[in-house]
Amino acid sequence: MRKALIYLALSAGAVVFAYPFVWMVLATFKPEAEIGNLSLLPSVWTLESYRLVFETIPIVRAFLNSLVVAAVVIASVLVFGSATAYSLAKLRWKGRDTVFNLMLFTMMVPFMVMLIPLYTMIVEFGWTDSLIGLIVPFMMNATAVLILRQSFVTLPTDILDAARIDGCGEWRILFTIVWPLSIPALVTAGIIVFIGNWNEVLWPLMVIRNEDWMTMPQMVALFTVGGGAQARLGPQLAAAVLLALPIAAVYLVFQRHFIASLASTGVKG
Amino acid sequence: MECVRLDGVGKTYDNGFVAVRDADLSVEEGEFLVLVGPSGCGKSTLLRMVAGLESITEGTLHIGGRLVNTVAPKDRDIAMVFQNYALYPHLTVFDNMAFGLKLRKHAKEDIRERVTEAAQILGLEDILASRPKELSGGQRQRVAVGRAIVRQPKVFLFDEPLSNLDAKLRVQMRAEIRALHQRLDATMLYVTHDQVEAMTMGDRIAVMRAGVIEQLDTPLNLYDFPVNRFVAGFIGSPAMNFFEGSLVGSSFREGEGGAVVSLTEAQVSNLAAGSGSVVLGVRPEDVYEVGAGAAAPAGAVRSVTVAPTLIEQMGSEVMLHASTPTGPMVARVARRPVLEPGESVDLAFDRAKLHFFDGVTGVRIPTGG
Repeated sequence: MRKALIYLALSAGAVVFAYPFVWMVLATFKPEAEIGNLSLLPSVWTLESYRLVFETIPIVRAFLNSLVVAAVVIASVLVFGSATAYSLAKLRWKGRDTVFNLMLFTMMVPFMVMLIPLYTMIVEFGWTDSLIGLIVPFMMNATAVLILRQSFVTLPTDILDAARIDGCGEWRILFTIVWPLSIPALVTAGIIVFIGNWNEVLWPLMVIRNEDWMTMPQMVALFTVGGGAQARLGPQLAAAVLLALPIAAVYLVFQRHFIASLASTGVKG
Repeated sequence: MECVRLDGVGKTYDNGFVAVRDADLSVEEGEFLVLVGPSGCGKSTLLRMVAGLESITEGTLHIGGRLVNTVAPKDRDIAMVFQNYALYPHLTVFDNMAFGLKLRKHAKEDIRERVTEAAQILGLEDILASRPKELSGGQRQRVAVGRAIVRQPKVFLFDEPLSNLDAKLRVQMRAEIRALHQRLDATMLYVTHDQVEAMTMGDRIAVMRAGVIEQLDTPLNLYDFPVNRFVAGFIGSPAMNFFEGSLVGSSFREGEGGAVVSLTEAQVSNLAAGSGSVVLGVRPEDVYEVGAGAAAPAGAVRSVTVAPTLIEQMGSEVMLHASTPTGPMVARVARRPVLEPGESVDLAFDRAKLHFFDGVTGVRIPTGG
């Protein structure tokens, strides 16, 4: 009896969370006129909404832009971020703890505060309307460094010493010893950076005017809110679904690692 | 030929803590030298300085005649075995052993040959494809030793390699490492806090305390002629008994109700030249029970009467634990019937085996044999 009540409450909760998303996905397959009520299943299945999206905006190009930006940013954050994290976790140098604290402090500063100075710099460098302007400001990420550092700290130092005696330099230790032993943390950091980067709308809106260099969320936002969809709900929802697709895919693929990393601090030797 | 030489080597950390002070040490080629001391005495730091994992702040270090103070660990021609094995968890046993050789660009065939040979020596042939987490503690330690062997280094460094193993395995691995040393004719520098390990394994032993090498000598010389009270108390198990007192007439007297030992003329004349307060040291095995029919040597004289507080039957012998006015004492005496509670025994010390230390400085007072 008690159990049944618990299940009932949990199911109700699940419906509350899942219903809007499921409704949105199914609504994209309805004819325009049918959208607007709360029913789930379309009477006729149609891809009209998607056809309109692809016809109206260069969403494939935007998708590729986003992909390039995300890929370069993730690669950069993982390489440079793990080097930083390794240094903060396992090397001894003067001022290390101060640097670590400063880095934590930057995490407290909202991005909005950085917006104007960052924008001024990008304009000065002539990087507006280019992917470089979207990539460079995000090549380092304090949250990712923190996640990686906390994982690296748990690695036994003797293993690194053994590698030094075996003939490794610090970079080789990082990539041949530390990385293989920190996969969950790397995946977590990568996913967090990816989600943050993929969903970023404000920054692209500031530095990109040319449609050729727009990212997907920027384009979808302009399309839905900016009037491109001419108030038709179908294409707006379809564009949103397309935007959410890569995130869902990444999550599904890396789900196991993601949860493993959140559940434990790292791998032990 | 000298293989490793330390001249006035010291380590001072940034916060001012001195971990090692003015260490002079030379390890001969093919020698098994043990660094032993209580935890925190700087023995591991000293070893890590030889390995290059810790910077040297004073003095010079030569390996194979070459000054290596600032040479990277990988270029010092050394291999090290760590206390917690430090195997690469993501690599197989084979790859763990081959890792260093691969980095040094050895030919594949050469790598396979060396790893196979090391695996044979250590009995690891069947687990070459396993990963470290599938192995027992003893196997892991063998792999760690194997990883050092394949490199054929000039010097092997061991940092308490057996302390994570259980007692039985430790005794077995002790013998194996010793046998390996003879088989490879290798130079080994071995750190341990266990004086039994040090005594049984080392050609020579350096006893360290608070960053200083107190004595460097062969095991038997350390045992028979400790240079000070610390070394005397550290080497030997159970530890040497100490009695604080002074020379009164021709006897050593501990004080009211304590040990009274009549000394030889030579002992008396040597002690008389000292500062007055004397520490008498006698090993538990040089104590005999008076009148128990045990074959006490001629030099044994009745010295103290104690009421044992703890009696340990070892089967072949008996350990009597008691206390005297200046501290606890242990006597290892011949097998005897169990004592009644409160019953006291008379004990004799072998005069030829007495040690004397200055009561203030703790330095050995030589007494002519």
